[in-house]
Amino acid sequence: MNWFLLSVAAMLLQGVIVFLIKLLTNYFNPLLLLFMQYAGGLVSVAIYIKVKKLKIKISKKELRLALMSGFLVSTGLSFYYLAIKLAPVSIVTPIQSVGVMLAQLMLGLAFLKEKLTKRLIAGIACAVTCIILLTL
Amino acid sequence: MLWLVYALIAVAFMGSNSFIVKRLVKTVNPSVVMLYQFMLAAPLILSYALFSGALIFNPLLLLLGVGYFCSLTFFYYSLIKGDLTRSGPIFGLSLLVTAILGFTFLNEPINLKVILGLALGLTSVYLLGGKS
Repeated sequence: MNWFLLSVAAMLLQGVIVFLIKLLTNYFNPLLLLFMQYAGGLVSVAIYIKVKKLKIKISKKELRLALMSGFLVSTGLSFYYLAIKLAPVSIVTPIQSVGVMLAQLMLGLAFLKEKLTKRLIAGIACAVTCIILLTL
Repeated sequence: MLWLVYALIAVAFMGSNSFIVKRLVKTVNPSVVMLYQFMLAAPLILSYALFSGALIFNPLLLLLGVGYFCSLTFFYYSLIKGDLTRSGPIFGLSLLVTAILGFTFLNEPINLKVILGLALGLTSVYLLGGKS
């Protein structure tokens, strides 16, 4: 499958999960939902690795990066939940979504030498406007 | 303004995370990256959750994790083959799907602003998905 179809599949699934979380926050603590999401993810990935017989041994440098990634995403999401406790979600969500998108763009351009094209600029501009219109 | 500080920390952490993952999946299987991520993230989030108040567990909530695992698997594989600057924003537009589900199942109001937002979101996916 090409990268575009994979990205769209990821977007669709993520959208459904966020929708379910939105419904469940009426009954459960958001951080508990986040924990269950990661605990369920851990069980799923462990089963997948066992079935596929994948090697889990990685170098020390890769391990450090993977653990750092785990720390960044979990702490980042927790701060996001703290922010929406203090301010309206309609203000925090666009700042967070647009900010992450722009951070990815800058890091990709600066360190991964990805190309900035007119089409990419137009795509990002549409995405940023879409997020603002849907959430504000 | 404490909320803004929290939101900016979230942006910095989550933006950097995608960058690290993009570098990692070049040499490590995406599922293995997720295994180590989740091994650290799950207990860390549990400690944050315990700190924030009383918790009522329901094992069915673990199903959220199955969906999350599938979603991240697709996203990480897309990072192997595609650019972070294009895959990342498309993944970020999951908001679009959540909005459509909200109108369909929760009868949330639709107005011109929302229709325009959806149209721009779809245009963005088309633009980011095309050849550069």
